Amino acid sequence: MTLDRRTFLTRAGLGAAAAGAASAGLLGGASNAGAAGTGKDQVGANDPLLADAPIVIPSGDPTLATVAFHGQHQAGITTPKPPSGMFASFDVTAESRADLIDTLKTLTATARFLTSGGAAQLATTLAPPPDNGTLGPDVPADGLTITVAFGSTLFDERFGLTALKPKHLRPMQPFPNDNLDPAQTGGDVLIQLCAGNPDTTLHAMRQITRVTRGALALNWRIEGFVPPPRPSGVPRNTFAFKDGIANPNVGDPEVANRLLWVTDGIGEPAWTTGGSYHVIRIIKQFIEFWDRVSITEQQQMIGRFRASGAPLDGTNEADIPNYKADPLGYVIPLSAHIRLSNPRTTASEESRIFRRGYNYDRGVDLNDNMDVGLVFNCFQQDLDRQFIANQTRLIGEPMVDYISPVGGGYFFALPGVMDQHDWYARKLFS
Amino acid sequence: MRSGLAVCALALISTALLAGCGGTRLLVTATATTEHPQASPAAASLSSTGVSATTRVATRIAPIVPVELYQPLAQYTVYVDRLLARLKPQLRALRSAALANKPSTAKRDWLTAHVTWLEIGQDDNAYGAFGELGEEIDGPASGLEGTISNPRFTGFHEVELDLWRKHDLSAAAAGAKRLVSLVGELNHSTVAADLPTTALALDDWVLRCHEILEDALRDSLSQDDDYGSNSDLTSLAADVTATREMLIVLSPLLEARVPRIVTQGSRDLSAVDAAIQSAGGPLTTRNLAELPLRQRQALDQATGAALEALAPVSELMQVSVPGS
Repeated sequence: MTLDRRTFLTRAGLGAAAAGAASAGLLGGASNAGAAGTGKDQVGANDPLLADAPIVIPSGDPTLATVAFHGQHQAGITTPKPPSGMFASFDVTAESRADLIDTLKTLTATARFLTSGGAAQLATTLAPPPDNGTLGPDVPADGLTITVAFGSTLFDERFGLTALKPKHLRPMQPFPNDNLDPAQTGGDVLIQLCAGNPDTTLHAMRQITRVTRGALALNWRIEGFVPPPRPSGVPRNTFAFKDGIANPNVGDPEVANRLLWVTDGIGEPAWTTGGSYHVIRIIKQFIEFWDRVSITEQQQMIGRFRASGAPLDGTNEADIPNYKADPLGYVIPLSAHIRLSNPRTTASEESRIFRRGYNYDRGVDLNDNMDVGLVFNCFQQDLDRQFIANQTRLIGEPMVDYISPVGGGYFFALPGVMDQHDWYARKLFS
Repeated sequence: MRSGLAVCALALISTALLAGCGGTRLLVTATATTEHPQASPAAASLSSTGVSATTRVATRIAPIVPVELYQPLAQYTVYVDRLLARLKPQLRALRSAALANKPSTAKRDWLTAHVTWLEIGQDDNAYGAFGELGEEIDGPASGLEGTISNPRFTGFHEVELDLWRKHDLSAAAAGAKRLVSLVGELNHSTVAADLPTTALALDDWVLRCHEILEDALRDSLSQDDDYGSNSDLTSLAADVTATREMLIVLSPLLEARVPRIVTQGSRDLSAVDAAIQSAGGPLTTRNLAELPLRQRQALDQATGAALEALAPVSELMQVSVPGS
């Protein structure tokens, strides 16, 4: 199916004038008169069986402040990680390069609006309301970030992009313990939505799928959450361990330019500068099994104390494990997850990844186990040198019995949208 | 899978009788080491398990020293040897049936041989006990690039795919021939070499008492490792047999410490067997997703309950190295 540019602009609400007066009179006028509405049989307002419960409004406003949309890099990578996340993979069904470009422009305009917030596009007399309304008439930004990435399959022959593929980008191949389900692996486009609340990400998801209908087919989707600190420090994963303690300090531009962002002069196509390789792994965690494992064994597998998050040779979560003092792994086993994944040697430094994971919780499996786990989510400058090197070191770690990576993919997070006139991946097409 | 140091403190065990929905259930919490770096083991042992215990007794449990496990290990070696001896002719029969182009005989022979293999407790090369060889004999395709089309996908599951999905008897015969030779490499010395000698390896070995059945729940009852035979019930039954053998060889040590684990564990394993019977019996090939809901729930719940009963075994059987 092809869509012309005008259709897209209309769907995105750019061409439509806000019809401000529409909603209040039509929707806001419901009274307590009851369905019959005749009023003749209406009982007195003080009849306790008919009275409504008092409306209790939760105190405090959890809505987060706006995160800037424009910039050299996309938001949602180094910006603070808010509690709600959603990850959606799409295949491009637009057939021509021009349609793909229009789709990206529409997506940009929609993302720009959603991340900034503002008055919802209301109904006109001729069409259903462009905004789904789930965030009310004034769409709050709520810290929403929308981070768009491309999969290697977008660089096939369809759109003439073959020569411009980021050089490390390719479909995710299984590691020995993986059990990848094709129905939730890969895709042409990955969109990561993060915000203060799950209704914000879902609202955005609905708006995005609506304005790109006909051009982007939803493949798979997963929702994640970041729990509050229990009781302090880094939040816990579903194995109860604090997860994400050791992350490179990408707030330091020098570190970010060595580990996180694609920069000029590293052999990548020019358009990719400012972007980052984006890896997602949907990792099921067998929590029933895990809960039947002794605390000793759990801690030896991870290399940290479960309660405090401290490495087994330390007392606080921020303590740096001293592997040099423990070459044989008497305190932190050589096979411990933290030791394999980040051996803290000069050689392993450049393989560090920037993690931004979310826990997930989504239903029941055939064997009555809960489908709970981690949306492992990380960004890096070089897929091979970083994520793949890391994951290769973890092959066969004792923890593999308790986890099963079932989906995800390798993507390339686009460079940032610079200003009002820019759009996603503009340089790729120029 | 454990990979760590043996814990060498006296294990303080608190036992609690829990009134659960399925009747009274024993819960054992072993706290030989502490979760918190500053807390002493004694303090940790008294911490609440977070469940409402109706009675609670703190008992001092003697640690295991390696020599105590030699007899159970010897018994287990005999068990494995016996199964391997049984497996070899079964695989030759499978090959003959495939060569003779008899698909239903070949399928039955495959099931028989696979059950024997699973009764060793090595489903999908659990624990990597036989190393690469175990992977070639019964490894799944999921971790291989290209999965089932990868040439490293061999063994039972490859033959299963050839028989049930590809209907390719000559490929099945070739796969069976390779299986015969792979299993031929597993003789008494490789089995003996696989068996643990260090404290660390002994700790890994006792884990099988619950991990074999954990694998059944994770891989068979989820249908994750089925390549066409729909033999998940058969696999579960074989895993129960393997688990029961572990419980039997360890029972003298367990009886001397927390006898109720043996009675509860045996009772729960029998409940899994009963659930298998209700679903048609161990030789029934059925798609679990199509079982009546009650039957599938009974299988899942009986297996889960047995696993809860067996979970303390590995901690109780952790080896203490004298003098360390």
